[in-house]
Amino acid sequence: MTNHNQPKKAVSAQSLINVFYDEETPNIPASWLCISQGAERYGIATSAIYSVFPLADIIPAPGSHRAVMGLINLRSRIIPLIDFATLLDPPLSTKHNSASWHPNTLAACESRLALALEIGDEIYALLPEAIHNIVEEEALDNKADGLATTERMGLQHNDLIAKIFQHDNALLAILNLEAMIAKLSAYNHFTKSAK
Amino acid sequence: MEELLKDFLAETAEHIDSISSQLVRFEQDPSDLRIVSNIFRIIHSIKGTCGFLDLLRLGKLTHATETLVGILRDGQKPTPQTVSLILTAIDQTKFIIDAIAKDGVEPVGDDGALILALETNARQLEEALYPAKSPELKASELIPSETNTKAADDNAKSQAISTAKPETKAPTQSKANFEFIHPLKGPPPERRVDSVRLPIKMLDQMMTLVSELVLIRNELCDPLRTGDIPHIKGPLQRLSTMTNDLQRSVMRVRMQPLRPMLASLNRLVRDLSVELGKKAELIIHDSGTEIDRQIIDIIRDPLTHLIRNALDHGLETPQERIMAGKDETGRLTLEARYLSGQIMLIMSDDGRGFHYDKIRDKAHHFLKSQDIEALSDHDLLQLMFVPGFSTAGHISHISGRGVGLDVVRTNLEQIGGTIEAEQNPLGGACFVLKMPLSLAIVPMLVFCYQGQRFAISHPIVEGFVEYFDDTRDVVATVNGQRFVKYGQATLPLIELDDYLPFGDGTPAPNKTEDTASEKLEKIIIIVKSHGRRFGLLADKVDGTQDVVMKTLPKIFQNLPCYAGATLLHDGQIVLVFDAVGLADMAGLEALDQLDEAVFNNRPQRPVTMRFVVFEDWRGELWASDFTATREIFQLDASHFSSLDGRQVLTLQKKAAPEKTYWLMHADGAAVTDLPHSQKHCILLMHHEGLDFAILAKRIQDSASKTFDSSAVAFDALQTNHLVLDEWPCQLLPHARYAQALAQALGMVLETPNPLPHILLVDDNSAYRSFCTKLLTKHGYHVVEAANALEAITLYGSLSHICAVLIDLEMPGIDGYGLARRLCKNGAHKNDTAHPPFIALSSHSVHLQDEPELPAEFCAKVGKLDRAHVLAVVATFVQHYAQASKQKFNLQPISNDGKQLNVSLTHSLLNSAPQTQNSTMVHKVA
Repeated sequence: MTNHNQPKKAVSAQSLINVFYDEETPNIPASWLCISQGAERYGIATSAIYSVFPLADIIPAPGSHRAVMGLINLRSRIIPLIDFATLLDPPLSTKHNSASWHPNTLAACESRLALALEIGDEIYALLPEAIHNIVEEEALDNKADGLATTERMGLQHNDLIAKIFQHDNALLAILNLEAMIAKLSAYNHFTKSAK
Repeated sequence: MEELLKDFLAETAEHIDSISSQLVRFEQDPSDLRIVSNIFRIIHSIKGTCGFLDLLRLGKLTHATETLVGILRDGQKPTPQTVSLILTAIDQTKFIIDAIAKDGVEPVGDDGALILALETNARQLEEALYPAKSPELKASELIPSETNTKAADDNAKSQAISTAKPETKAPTQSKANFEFIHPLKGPPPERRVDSVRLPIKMLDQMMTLVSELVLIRNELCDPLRTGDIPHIKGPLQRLSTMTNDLQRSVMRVRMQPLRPMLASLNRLVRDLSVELGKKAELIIHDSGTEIDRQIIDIIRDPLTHLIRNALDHGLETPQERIMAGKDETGRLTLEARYLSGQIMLIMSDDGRGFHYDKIRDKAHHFLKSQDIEALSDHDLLQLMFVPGFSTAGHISHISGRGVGLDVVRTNLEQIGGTIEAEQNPLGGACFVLKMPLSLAIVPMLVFCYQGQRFAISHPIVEGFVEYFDDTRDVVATVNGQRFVKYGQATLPLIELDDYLPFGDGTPAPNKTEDTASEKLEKIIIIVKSHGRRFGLLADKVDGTQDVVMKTLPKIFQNLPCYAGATLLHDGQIVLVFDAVGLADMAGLEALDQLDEAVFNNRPQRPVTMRFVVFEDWRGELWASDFTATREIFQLDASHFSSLDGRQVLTLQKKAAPEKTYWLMHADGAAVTDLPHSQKHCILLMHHEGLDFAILAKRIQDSASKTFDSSAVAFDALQTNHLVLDEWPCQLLPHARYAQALAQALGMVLETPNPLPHILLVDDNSAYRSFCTKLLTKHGYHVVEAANALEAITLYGSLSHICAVLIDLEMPGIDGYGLARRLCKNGAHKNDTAHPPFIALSSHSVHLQDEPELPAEFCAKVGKLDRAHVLAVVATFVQHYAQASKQKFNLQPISNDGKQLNVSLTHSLLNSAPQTQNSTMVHKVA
């Protein structure tokens, strides 16, 4: 795990203005927090980040999607913890797909850094392999549109990705957090659909 | 302006609700001018603000209403028409206010007709109020009134209201007029602003924050309590106390008095009683009870249902009530009080009460006769909460469709409440509702399963069964489904890991240390919710905690087995199971809920039968129907003797005569020689009044089998072979054996004789209770009537009355009058002689001095002479049974009256009551 400097939410004068005049200022540069999973890099809009915190006491939630490691207590809020690696992995063939929240797995996760994300009116925790720096929009190579849809067709998790930018000679896939939650919500343990 | 409008709407909505109930109270007690003055002030205030906010339509309507209410305030007695008119105006006002709240503007419409009716009624009342006054006074009063009326007319024409134009003199003159009539009355006191409005969401947020503070306090206290840090302990103690106080205070913010909601039901009672042509009043005893406002909203509908039912079916018409010796105005009583951290609401009426026979008749649509017979009166009443169950003879728009009480129960169960029906000891029906004080704090039962802690709502937990692995007498498996035996019931058992993945059972970090692997003993939690009962297997129960429920995010939406999650006092998260979701997950149908499918004659619900499995001396397995197997004994040879070449069994139980039973093998053959054994296993069987004994080698087990329906069960039993718990068994044909035995003994088996019903008519509830217990103890079934009307109704509907005990001194129709009426009705009922009427007199000592009894009565007894009451009842019931050739299950009594008295007195004082079965066994032996 490459825990670099603990990322901070970017606060600028412009972002403060954004708080008060959100609708009137559509052209404010966006920023993303980079996370990585294996060799891949993903970006999460900093506006969605509620907190970054070390994990402790993960309580399994039997029957939930295999990527949901369990529930955690974040300052007295009960929030689900999503294992990013499992979310991107193909489904396992085992009956109960319990690998992601096996007690040993859970114990190994403790003290790792997780992101609390505000998605819609709910808060979720996401456990990536590593958390990196914040990337401002100006630093992107193709900030105008990102990669064309045709260029992304071969991606396995196309549904979870909003845009793909080029940054530092690598690709940065911007996560569509709402789509991620929609995918997890569609899962039904009893019919085993939408794994 | 928008803010003003919002405040006005919020305030008006609050006040307008209280007007209806106040008006009904005023109608009941017109002498209380404070009530009408209050109503006047509210309407006046609304009218005034209407002018300010340019709400012309509402202003005109409230102006006309105010005029009429003003006349009532002046001392005119309200007529029902006036009250109805004002209530209609209030309803219309509410409608307009709701429309403004929704659209921001007044709805389009014309209230001209209503305003005209209000004004006309006001003029009529005004003329009636002042006819006798002096000409000077009358003139002086009429001027402002006319001006007022004129002003109203002018307003109507100009589409403006008087208050909108301060320069108009009419209101000032009108006010002068009121002040003239009530010179002592000062201007309305200014309302002090002593409250603020808060969004409910903010209250919920405060509650959450405080709950979290409590948790943090708990976390802080635990380590400090164990360590010796004296300078911290003091402040910590204060922090703890203050946190508790804060929690209580915030809890109280959510609490609201029940009274306003209960009082609003006055209007419902008033409207329904007018509509039904009945007279009723609602009496409220609330004792200042406060409850979470969310619960207030939830219980409003259930209470409305109960009141509708009570008025439509419970209370009699004024004529019927007078005939029954009751006050013509029926009473609905609503009592609220605290009970062990819950709120108990008792709604009772003094109407005709529950009609058990009607409920029984209706129950035949849902249950088998034998099941109905097994139900106690209390259980019988609970059938009324089954969907589609209604004893109403007709369906009206008020009630009778059988959708009321089940909705009531469902609403209450959703908030962890319960409802039970009871017969009101003073006559009438009674419903007892219990609910939690608050929805914010929920009592939870915490349990451990597979090393993880979970919770389930505590109020729905009915009990616990201890379970050791492989203990067959607690858990049985039938067709792969596991069942738990709980009392007399066999309930499906849910094992969570059959449905949910639990890893390998290794405890997760910071969870319970006791795991399934460490302990063999487990516990089964018996859960009852929404008509479904089942057992939930747990490793251990961890106690109960009051917690704050938190909803789960939407990624759990397809897991209905979870109701939410919560933080325990130690800060740990537990998932909370939802009972209905669990039952659905396990595919459990509402086995003990008689749903609409049964009612609509669709395929019947599954039937579970229980059997005793035993082995005979030839090594074959037999299954004996549990219901026919009365007792199982291990007896030594001293209980057996030879009679006519076959073995018989002789038993003597406590305080009962010795009885002899024919003994046979499981295949029906007579037992000629007892096998050599220290102990002999005996199954005592019972069928249609005949008892006999089956000799077995040993009892193997008890087992249940579920058939898809009664018909399938019947077909399966006809084959005489069953597979129970994978054991092929022969079915013991006890009915065939009983018939063969009866034939051999020269007996004729009969269908069970009806229990003798004694109709007891007495207005004194305490005496009814006493006498019923006495007679019940001696084998009679007693039906009580509190008055003549009830007695006449019951007499017409009961088919097996063997005696009628009538109190001679009753209000309304007395005992003599009742007897005459019953005789008359009885002549129409059938051609046989009527059952004996026995007069109950308060004067027990000088019976011979009282005037001769009318011919309708066969005897008179002193009410308090227990032995004499019993003796006379026994004598005449016996005579009636012989005369009418009816067969009742009667006590074995002598025909000799003198001996009879002695034996019954002896029986009453010394012996245990004889049951119906012991009587029949005695006859056979």
